[in-house]
Amino acid sequence: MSIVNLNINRRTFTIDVDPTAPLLYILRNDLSLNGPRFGCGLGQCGACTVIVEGEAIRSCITPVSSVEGFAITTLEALGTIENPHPLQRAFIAQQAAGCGYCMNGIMMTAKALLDQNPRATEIQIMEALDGNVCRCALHIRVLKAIQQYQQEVRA
Amino acid sequence: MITKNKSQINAVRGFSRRDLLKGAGLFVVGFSVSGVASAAGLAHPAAGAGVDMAFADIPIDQLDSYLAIAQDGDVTIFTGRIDMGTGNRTCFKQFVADELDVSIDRIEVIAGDTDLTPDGGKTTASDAIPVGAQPLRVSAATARAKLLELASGRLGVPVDQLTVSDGVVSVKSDPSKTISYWDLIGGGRFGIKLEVDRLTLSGPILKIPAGVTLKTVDQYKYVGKSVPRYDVPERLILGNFCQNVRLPGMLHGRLLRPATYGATLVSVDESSVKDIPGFVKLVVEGSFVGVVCEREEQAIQAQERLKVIWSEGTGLPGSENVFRFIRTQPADKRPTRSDATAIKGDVATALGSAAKTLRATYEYPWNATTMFAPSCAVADVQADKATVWSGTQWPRYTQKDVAFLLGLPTESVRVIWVEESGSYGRLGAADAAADAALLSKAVGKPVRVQWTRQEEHAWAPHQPPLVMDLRGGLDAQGNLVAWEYESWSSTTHDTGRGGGLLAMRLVGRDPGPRNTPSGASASTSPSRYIIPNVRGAAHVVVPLLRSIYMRSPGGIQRAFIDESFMDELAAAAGVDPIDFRLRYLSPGIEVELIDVVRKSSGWVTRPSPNQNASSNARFVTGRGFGRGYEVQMVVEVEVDRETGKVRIIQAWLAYSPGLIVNPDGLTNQLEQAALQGMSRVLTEEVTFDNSKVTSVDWITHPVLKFSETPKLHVNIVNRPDLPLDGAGENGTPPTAPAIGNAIFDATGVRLRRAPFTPERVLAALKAHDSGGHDH
Ligand code: FES
Ligand code: FES
Repeated sequence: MSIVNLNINRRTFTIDVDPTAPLLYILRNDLSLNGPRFGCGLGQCGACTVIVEGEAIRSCITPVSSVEGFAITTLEALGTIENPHPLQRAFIAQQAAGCGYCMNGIMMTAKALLDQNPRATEIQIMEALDGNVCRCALHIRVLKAIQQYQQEVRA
Repeated sequence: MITKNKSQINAVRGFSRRDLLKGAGLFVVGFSVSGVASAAGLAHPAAGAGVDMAFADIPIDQLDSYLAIAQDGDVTIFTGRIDMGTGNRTCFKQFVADELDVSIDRIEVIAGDTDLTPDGGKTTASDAIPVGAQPLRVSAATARAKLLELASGRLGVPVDQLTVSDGVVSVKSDPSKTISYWDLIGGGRFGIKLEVDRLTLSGPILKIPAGVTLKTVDQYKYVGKSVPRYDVPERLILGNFCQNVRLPGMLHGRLLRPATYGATLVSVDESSVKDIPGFVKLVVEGSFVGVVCEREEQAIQAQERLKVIWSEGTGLPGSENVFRFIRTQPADKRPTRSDATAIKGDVATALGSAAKTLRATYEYPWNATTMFAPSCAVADVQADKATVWSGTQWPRYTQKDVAFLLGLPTESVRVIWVEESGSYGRLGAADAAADAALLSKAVGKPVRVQWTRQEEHAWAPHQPPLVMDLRGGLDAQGNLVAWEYESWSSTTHDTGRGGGLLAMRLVGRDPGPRNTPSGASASTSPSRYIIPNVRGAAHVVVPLLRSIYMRSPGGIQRAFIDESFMDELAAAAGVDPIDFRLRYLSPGIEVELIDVVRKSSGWVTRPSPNQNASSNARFVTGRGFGRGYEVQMVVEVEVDRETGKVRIIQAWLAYSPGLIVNPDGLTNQLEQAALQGMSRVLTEEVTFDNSKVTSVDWITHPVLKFSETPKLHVNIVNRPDLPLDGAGENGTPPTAPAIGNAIFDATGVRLRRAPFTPERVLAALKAHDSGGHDH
């Protein structure tokens, strides 16, 4: 165990953990940040996605010590039930959820992409999401929601 | 514990609905409606009815079991059905709001908690609307009638002089005279006994009491509207999943699975993990092996490090040989079910005198639900009782299963359903619930179990394969005169209806399936076509792997086979594939929907394959039609002749569930079911070698990618005059034949083995080019 300082959603957290432990379990179990989820633990599905310094990364395969000192953003930083982030609002408007378990990964991946490139084309969006799995097959609604968000941001 | 779920809050507070319904509960305020039966101690109508639903503590024949109105005007509905991400709870609210005449915002739903909700059977068969909603509708309508009767007494005017708006009853002629539902009964019990009309595996159907009427379509305010799913914001923003259930002092458990199929435990070396910080216990019972640690990452480490030696295993035939294998298994040989299309006419003579006969064999492989979130559960087992949090589709069976494994009476186990990832037909196959219960019992503390991705892909129950030999005969005019088939498949539910859980098998205490197994995937062929001479046989063998339903049990396989062979016959007759089918279908909604999809897709009447099928172009396109029994579909594909890759450009579908309860919800479900079906047909197969499953993650078992998303045109037809039908699975079956038929249209090559992977398509194209047989 050792002391690790994490900068998450603009707050600093100090925890005493195994520095090799994947970030995902620290976020969920120590900090009750339930946005990132366990889907595979293999870097294959995206369920655990968080944004580190603007890049969408997979927290299930990221040792906690490797992100010390970086700005980590989780789903919790986007919006709340009362005040959803515009991206979440677009997902709600399009009813882009089956079970919704994958949607953390999909929204966070989309957010990282659109923050960098708000005018990403549909093909670029699809390709960015190719590393995310949605077993409920919400592909159509997800793409519509992202498009709606892009239009709103532009307007 | 992080959750907003009311039932969980109640669980934490120790609220007991059993007490409530026995009259000792929290919001009984001594008010009682006249002439009512006591809620407690009623003889249960289910007794001896053949379906085991005798949970008298939350009687299925009491209005109070389904509905409660609080003093503050909150309306709570209780359902045994769970919501795996389909939105059925929103539809329940729509129905109840309309039948009761209250605003939908007043309504809360408590689902799938064995201490709080009446038995709602299994959540499957897409019958949440036809069956699951029915007791709620009847309860709400009955409650409304009773409340109006009470209001009439209090306001001193006859019932027909009253009107209701959002739970407030007023006198039509004098709107200042009002009384609300909550003034009348808030916090009290109705105490009204309802009669069970019949019991289904999906819960009871209640009789509508005399003097009570359900609303008619023109009276609906919410039913028929695209009310957004109330659980969507929570799922997108908070994600209150079972995975987040955290209890004080909770430990983390992981399991070790046999190295090969059928292997048993030889030895396990505890010293290989003892030094892991936070290590609590190694749990071994028979071949059930689990590790429990204080922290999740420690449990993962212990799972990875534990040295286990397994016996050889029982062996598997290899997935490429699976069809040969099931054909040669000793079978429970039986004639087809006596459906309308069963043995009819004289097939032998008809085939003997046919101008043209066709012969084909079709093969559909093992499919896996591969839930996006690997199975998870939390169990808190104490000396004389246990509580389990699980995403199970059948809480009452999970309750029984866990009680059986723990040696506790059923009523001492409480199962609380919590939202989980989509499970697409897993029924009560809540393996992780049993795992967590065994580990929690062993350590005497609450334990959370999280399966790995590989466990979920390899060890969850899967849907078994189907292979069918077919012969069809056409007369000189190209009319279909004979259809003969012989099929081999396996039982689809040797788990999931109680018993058969992985933990039960591993500890060596499996009570076995509680219902007679059947082979849903071996049903009669060809569905609903009226053909003069039909003969068939279906063989059902013991499944090779643990088996279960998957979205549209048997549907995708049968549709693939029937509808592809029908396409072959149409091509042999030189007739347009839709026109050919219409000759053999009776008029009705199905034919109407075929017309809808035909028009919507701009279908051009001509036989298949199309003209460019023989071209040498690298990319060729084609269109195909597929009947999915309920949903009619047209698909347009592009085939890359160099790589064998099939791309679905767009698809059109048409469906009517009878009355449309929620148009957008229905459309969404159809989109999901269709896309999941396309994924299954293009890429999915459970593969195994001679000892173990080898499709164990998203690389070895890929699903449809975002870049492969087709355009989808969904046509839904509102027909309140027809019986209600579901939404969840019907979109899946037609995908298989529609895609296969479109590939044929594009290339002239017939694919008879799913999935249509690039390798398989390429091999079929090559064989065709060299004049060989199709695949
Ligand atoms: S859980 Fe991290 S990628 Fe799947
Ligand atoms: S919504 Fe269920 S996995 Fe994507």
